[in-house]
Amino acid sequence: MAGINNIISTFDRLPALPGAVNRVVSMLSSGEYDMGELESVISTDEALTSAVLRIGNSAAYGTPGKTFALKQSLVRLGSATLMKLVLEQEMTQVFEVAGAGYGLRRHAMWRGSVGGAVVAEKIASDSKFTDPNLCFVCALLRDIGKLAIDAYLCGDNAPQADPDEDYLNQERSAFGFDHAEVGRLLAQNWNLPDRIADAIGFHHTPPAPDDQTHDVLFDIVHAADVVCLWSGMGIGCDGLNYRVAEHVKQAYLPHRKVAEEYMAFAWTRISEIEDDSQQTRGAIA
Amino acid sequence: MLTMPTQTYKKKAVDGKIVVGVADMAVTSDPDALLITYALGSCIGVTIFDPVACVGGMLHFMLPNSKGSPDKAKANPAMFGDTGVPLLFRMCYDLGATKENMVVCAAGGAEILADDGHFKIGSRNRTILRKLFWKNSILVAAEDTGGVGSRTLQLNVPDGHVEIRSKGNGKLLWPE
Repeated sequence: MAGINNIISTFDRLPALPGAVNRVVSMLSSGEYDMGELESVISTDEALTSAVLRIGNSAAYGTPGKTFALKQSLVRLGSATLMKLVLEQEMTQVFEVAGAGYGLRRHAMWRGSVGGAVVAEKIASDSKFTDPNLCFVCALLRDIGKLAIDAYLCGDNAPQADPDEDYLNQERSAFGFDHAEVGRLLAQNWNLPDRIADAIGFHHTPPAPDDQTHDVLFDIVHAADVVCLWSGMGIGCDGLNYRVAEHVKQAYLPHRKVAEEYMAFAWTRISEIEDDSQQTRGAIA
Repeated sequence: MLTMPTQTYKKKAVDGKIVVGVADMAVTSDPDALLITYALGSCIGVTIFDPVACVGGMLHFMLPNSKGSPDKAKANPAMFGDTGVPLLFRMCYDLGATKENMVVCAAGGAEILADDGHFKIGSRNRTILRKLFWKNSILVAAEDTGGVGSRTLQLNVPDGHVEIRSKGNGKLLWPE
């Protein structure tokens, strides 16, 4: 059986976060930057610059009749929104074609990741407990461990789910590690902040409130993941073989109706994002 | 009576295949089409095949009941069992299918592991389907529901074969 070191050695085969993205995330998470510095890093990445300008001048942030340049847009967006924007922009392309080893078709991992992100953002907004943008980012990245395991499998498949056993156990039996644990390591390898790496590591097993490591952020990411499983977003050969943490169930999914509302919300938001993306693609003939 | 965007569900095959998304449906009288839906978790896939009229239909609904969400049901009746299933039948009738000749199959409705009955999302989807079929005297020719696995469901219109892929294995659901 392979050890965790074997999987770490595959990280360099993965599409790394582009230098600009890495530097921006690192600056935003440390809080140690000035706007001029941030502007100069972002302006080296064309896709990122255009995304910041698009959102910074969108109806939600823009002022009628005024157009904002890059630096002004950055100020208007704020660091949390910017972090969300940067990672969403970057990971969208990576997730689009990922997950074949887990039986995921093209676009399926994107749906699972973005679906979880929008649900986590919504749960955070509804509960007012923690930063919705941070919840979005953590839920978006929660399955990056599957990217690494995919690369490690080199075209082979992850184990088919045994209906009686938690899939994390099955991964550990097959590989010696599970995708949540690998995701945490990959996030660290990408120099993402520890809290984001931990949210990824705990997305199936958030610590209970009496545990020192408990964090509302981890609970919300877990709840969003469960909503995606029910909705069929991003599920592959692992099926629905995961457990719901009891304290998360009580706090965020207390009734079936709440769960169903989040499922409907996920579908609606994903459809809107897909429509928007199609319109953007078709905007210039 | 719902004012339904039925045009959305009249899809043309691309490379012989019509992909039905989540909260989506499709009907066709294309004799060569393959209808397919992926990643049925707690959602349920329903297929209809009329060999005489050569009509196929497929629905992938996500939630059982639209009562609390009339706006969502109006915008997309395929999201709910109670609006999607009747619409699927009506759209197949519109293409010439008849109830007597229809072969109806269902798959999906899985639960998350160790659900102690708190959520029963899949189970509620299975229940609404049974209720609808029972009240409308519809006999299900074959079904593969429950469990914890994800399923892919496909209906091959040329011969009416319904196949399921789950846990990496394919099986013929109908004819048995």
